[in-house]
Amino acid sequence: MDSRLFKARNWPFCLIGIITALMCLGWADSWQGLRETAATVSTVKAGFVQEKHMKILARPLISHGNFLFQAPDSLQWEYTQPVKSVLVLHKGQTRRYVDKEGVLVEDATAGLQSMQMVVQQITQWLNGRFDENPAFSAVLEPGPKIVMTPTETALARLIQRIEIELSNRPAVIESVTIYESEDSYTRLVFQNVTLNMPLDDTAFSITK
Amino acid sequence: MKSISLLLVVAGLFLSCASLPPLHQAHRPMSVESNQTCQGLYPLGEWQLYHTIEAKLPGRQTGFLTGLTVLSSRERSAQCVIMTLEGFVVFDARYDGQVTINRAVAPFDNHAFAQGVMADIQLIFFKPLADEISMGVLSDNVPVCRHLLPDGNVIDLVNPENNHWETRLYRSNHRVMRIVQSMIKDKLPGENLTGIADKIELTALGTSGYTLILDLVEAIPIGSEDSRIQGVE
Repeated sequence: MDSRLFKARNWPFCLIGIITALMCLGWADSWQGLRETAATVSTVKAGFVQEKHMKILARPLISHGNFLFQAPDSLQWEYTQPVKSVLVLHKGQTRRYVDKEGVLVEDATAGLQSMQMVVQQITQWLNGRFDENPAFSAVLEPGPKIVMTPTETALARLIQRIEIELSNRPAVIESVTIYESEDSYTRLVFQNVTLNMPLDDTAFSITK
Repeated sequence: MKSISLLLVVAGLFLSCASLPPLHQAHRPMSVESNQTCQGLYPLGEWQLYHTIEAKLPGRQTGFLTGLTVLSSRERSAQCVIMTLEGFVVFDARYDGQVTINRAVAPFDNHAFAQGVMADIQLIFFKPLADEISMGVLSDNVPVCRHLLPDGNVIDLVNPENNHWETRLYRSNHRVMRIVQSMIKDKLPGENLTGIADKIELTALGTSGYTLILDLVEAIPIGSEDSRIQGVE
């Protein structure tokens, strides 16, 4: 095949590729770019697969679920397998419900406080504010990937680092990996991400 | 005030006089080895068990967690990892004769909690190591296998019906401390050869009592089948 002909035929595709790459660089090459792109997103809906890796495990623990976000700070983190549960942050309140033989039961323990911090952190990320939590120092790396490292010793004992892989698709997070240690980590991979779909007022209310 | 004091004294006398339920002679005498009640429902060999945990705590609070237990019946060792439903580890400790805490987040970050967790794990998953075992039936004709432990405590293994065992732990003063219900769901008698319960309910009695309901999500054998068979004590 004539290489010049090949190049001539394909240059529009190459150009589209270059433009897309530049757009992606545009959204993920600076904190400002991330914030500006995130500001265009009103809602996010996605499925996810979660892998829990630990040294003692014969094989990782796999969970499946769905994720729903509405700017600025409403979030629903639902597990469908193997244990049905849903964590909701809405109007400043965090609640968790667990399916017990078909009935949703509210979890009212103090353990929920730590999850409240986690979901608030996630909403910050979804608003493109990766670098605003003083508890973490955030570095934007090629990939594009954001690596967050705890700044306080107390927190560093619990979380070694968090790696957020950004999709080439603007405003989309591809995966989040939370390292508790080098051989113990949780990886969430998001799938079928839909942005800016309309949501009604009842999207974050739980019917028991 | 005097009547309250009197009531407390009477209650104290009553409690200190607690006694074990009487053991009656069974109609068909059996050896410990052939007695189904004495076998209990204990995992044999090495297993990775993943449970959801519903914890009913004092003050009518109910919390939900998941628990991962990697255990060896032969070594009588266990590693226990407690996680939030989202997979964050809040407690990780190992027992192999003594308790080693690898990781603990408040409110799980104290040694007494770790000791309590490991004591409960041993009661649930390991066959009692008894100085003496006696068999019989309770007054309601339910078979029982009574274990006298070296520390003076007593464990009764009760088998009220097929696929349902009840473990009762009594202090040396014969007051009941823990009751564990272990059940296998939807299986014919003898069908569960692994000794792994589908549902476990542990009730800790006392002023700061609690109830843990464990539902089995996943049980993965570790190592060879031989090691599981050899796990039989």
